[in-house]
Amino acid sequence: MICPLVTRVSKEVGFELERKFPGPCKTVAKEGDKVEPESVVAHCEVSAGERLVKIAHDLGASAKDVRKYLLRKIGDRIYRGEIIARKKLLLGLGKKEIRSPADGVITEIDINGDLLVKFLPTPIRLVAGAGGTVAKVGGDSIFIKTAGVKIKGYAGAGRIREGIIKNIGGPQEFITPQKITADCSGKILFGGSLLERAAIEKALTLGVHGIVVGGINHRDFLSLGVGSDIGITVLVTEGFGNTPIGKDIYEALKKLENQFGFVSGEAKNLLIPAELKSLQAAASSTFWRELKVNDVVRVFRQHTEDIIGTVQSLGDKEEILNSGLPAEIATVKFLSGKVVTVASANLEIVET
Amino acid sequence: MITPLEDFLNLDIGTSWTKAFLVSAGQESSVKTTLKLPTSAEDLSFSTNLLIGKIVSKSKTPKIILTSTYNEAADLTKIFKASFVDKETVRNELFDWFSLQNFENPLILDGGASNYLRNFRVSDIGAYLSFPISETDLENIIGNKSLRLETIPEDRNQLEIEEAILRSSFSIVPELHNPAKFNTLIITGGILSWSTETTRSALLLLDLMAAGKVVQVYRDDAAFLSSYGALIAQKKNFKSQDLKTLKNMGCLVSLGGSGKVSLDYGLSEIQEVTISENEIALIPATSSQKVELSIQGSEKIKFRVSGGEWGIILDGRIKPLALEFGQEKSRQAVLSWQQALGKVQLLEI
Repeated sequence: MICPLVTRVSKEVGFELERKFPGPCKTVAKEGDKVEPESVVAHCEVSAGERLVKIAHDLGASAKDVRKYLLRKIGDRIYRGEIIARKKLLLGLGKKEIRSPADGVITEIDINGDLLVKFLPTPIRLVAGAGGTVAKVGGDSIFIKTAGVKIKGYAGAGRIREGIIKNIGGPQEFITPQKITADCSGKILFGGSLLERAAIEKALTLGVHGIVVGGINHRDFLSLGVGSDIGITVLVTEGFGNTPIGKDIYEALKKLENQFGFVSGEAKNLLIPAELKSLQAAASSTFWRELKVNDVVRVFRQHTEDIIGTVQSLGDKEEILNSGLPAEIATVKFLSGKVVTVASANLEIVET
Repeated sequence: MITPLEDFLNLDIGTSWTKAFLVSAGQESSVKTTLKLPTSAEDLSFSTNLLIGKIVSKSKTPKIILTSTYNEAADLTKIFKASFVDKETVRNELFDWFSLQNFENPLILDGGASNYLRNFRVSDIGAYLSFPISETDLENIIGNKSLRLETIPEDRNQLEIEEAILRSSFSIVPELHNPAKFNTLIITGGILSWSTETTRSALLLLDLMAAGKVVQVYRDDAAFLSSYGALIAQKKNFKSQDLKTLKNMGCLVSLGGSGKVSLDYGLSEIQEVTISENEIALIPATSSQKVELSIQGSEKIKFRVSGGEWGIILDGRIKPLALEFGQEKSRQAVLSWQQALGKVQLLEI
C-alpha cells in the first residue's frame, strides 16, 4: 500500500521566505546580499486611499460657489488640520472654516462641491524578517533564503502573515473568544482542538495575524474564504471537527514560543526562521511512498490526542472491514500505548 | 486477430484510486490479475509505475493501455510505452458493447470519488442516515473526505454517509425519475463495486427510483468497466469475449406504494404478487430466468426482465421517500429498510 508522505515538523530546514511588497517599493537589497532579520530590504509606500470632504454642504454654500471659498487648489498638497476652505458669514457674524482631515493632495472638486483628497502614502520600511541571503528580487516580492522550522498543516486559509508565536491553550482545549485577549494583537497564536467561529471574529477585531489550531468546523473554515483573505490567516493541522493539535506540532511550537514566524494559509505552513548551526537535508520531494513496518503514521481520529503512532504490522492480504469493504490492514501503536487496526489507505506517513 | 496468449495490462487512473488489470488473450480470455492503489495525484507516474512493476514481474511484458480522468495521464504513455484512451472514447466503446449485449436504455452510475467533490445540501445526505449526527459533524466528515478521497470507510456509519452522498449525487439523474422508460443500470466504481454487501446498493437505487420505475441492474464488481472500454477501443476482438465484466444483479421495481405485480415465467401459470404499502419483497429468480413483469394499475405496462444475484425486488414504499434529517422516525425507517434488504439471500447465478 502507498500512502501520502507528510513532513509535519521540519527542524533545521532551509527554505525561501517570500516577503511581499505592501505597495510600490524600491528595493535596497540585491540578489546574493547577506541580511539580518532587521535589515531593511525595501522602502515601500502604502496607499492610504482617498476621502471626500463635503465643502459645499459644510459651508452651507452652493456647489458652483465652492471654488471661491477654497484656500487651496487642485494639485496642492495639504496637511492634517490645515484650513482648506473659509466662508465669512453675513454682517460680520463670524466665519466657517474647514480643516483637512489628513495629509494628502487635492485631486478633484466634483459637481456637488465636494473635495476629493488623496491621502499621502505612508512610507514603510520592509525588513528581511529572517537572517539569510537574498535569493531573488521579483516585481512584487523579495525572497530571502533562510533556515528554521517549518510546520506543515492539513488545511489553511489566508495570505502570508507574520507575528510573534504565542500559545493560547493546550491540545485538548477549545479556542473560545475568552482565549483571545488584547495582548494577542499582531501575533500568531497556536493550540487547541477546535477553533470556534466567535473566537475568529474576536481575533479579527483585535488584529490577530494568525491562528494555528488542530481542528475547525468545516463551515467556519469555508467562511474564511477559499482562495481569498478576510484579514486573518488560519492553519489547521489535523482536520475538520474537534481534533487536538498533534503532540509533535504542539511541542515543537512550545519550544518556539515568543519567536517571530510567518504563517500562510495558501501554502498551508508556518515558517519560523532561526539561527542554525547546521542544516538538515531538505525534506523529501516525493509525495507518496510504500507503507512499511515501523513507519510513523498519522491516523485521522477525532476527540483524541492519539493520532500519531507507529506501524507495528501490515496485513499481507485484504480483509473485510466493519463497513463490509475489503482493505489492506495496518496495526498502529500510539505513544499512549493504545493499539488500533486501520485501513492502510487511511494513513499518512509522517516523515521525521 | 488477437495473437495467442497476448497479455494486456489495463490501467484506469481514477480520481482517488488507480486500478490495474492483466488481461490474457487467447482461446479463453480472462482477467488474470487485479490490483489497486491510491492514485498519487501529485505524481501520477508513481502509483502507475508501482502497479506496473507488481504485475509485470508476474508475467511476460504485456501491452499497456491507460485511461484516466486526469488529462495529464496522457503524458505517461512516453514513460511506460503505453497507449492512452480518453474517457469519451471509453464511454462510446462501452455503449457500443452494451448494444451488443442487448442492454435496453443503458445508464452508467459511477460511484467514484468525483461524487464527493460536488456541492451538497447536508440535510439531504443526513436524511438517509440511520444514526443521529449533528449537521456540523456531518459537514466535518464530508469536508475531511473531500481532502482525502482515497480513504476507505471503516465502520457502518462512515459507509452510510458515503452511500448517502451517492444518493444525493444520483438524485439528479433524470432517468431514475422517469417511470415510462425502462433502464439497464450499470453500477460501477467506489463502494458500488467494492462493497461486499451488494444489497445496500439495491436499497440505494430503490430509494431514488420514482413510483412505477423498473430497472435491470448489472454490477461491475472489480471496477473494471473503464479499463474494459479502453481495451475494446484498442482491441475490438475483445468485444465478443466474455471477460465477466458485469454481473447481473437482478431487477428492481419501485411501486410507490401498495400494488400488484404479475410475473410470467413462460410457464403454464402467471405468478401474481401483492405488495403492501412500505413492504420490500424479494422474488427469487436467477439470471437465466427471463420474466415478463407487469405492474397492475390503471395502465398495465409490461417489462422484459430477468432475475440475478438479488432476484427481483419489489418496493412498496411511497415515493419520494418522506425522510427528514434529524428525525428519529426517519432514522428508524432507514434502519428497517436496511434490515429488510440485509435479509436477502444472494442467489448463485
